Amino acid sequence: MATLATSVESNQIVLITTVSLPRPQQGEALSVQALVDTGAQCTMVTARAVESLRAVSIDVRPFVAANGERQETEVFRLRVDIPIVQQALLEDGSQGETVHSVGADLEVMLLPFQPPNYDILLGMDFLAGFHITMWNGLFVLSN
Amino acid sequence: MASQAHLNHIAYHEQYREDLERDHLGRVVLMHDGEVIAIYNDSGDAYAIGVDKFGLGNFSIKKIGQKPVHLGIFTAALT
Repeated sequence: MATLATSVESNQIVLITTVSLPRPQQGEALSVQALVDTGAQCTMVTARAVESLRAVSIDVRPFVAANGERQETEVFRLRVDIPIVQQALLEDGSQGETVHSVGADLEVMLLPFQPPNYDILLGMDFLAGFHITMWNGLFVLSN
Repeated sequence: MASQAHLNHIAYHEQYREDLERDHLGRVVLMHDGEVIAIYNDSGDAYAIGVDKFGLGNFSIKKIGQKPVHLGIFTAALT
């Protein structure tokens, strides 16, 4: 099974992701830290990442923050990928690993603030496509 | 100058929302200059056709009847 494993630090799960403009406008990918948030329905992105990608908004959408306040924010269509490690049988018969990107084109909402340690908040629209295991301080995402 | 996303968002709510939510709930509308161009079943199709026809930044897409999404608890202390 292909997996991405990372340790849970300070009760937060932060992954390295790549974000890019989806086809047909696909440009250079940006490598950023992403916070896993199973309480968020939608993946979100910071203004800093949007500016780096030169992404252009495609919608304005309402959201309800965790404090119950309703706000509106811009929406961008972005490609979000994570590196997945696949066990492989090498030509010499030994076991090895290959790394490939797995992700999706998503409608990503603009975060109304700049978090200190991440630029993507990975919500359930992304996470629902994976098998998730947490045990002994380790977060394992598989497909 | 307002972006296409903001211009079309206002037009959607002032002119089109009621009819679109009655007839096309759950589908995706492609808009340009405050007008409805076409309605699709898939946002990826609407986006690709919008880019092809108008260029990025010159159109918007909106899921018809979409409710406000909820953010997770991590955003609570920061918003």
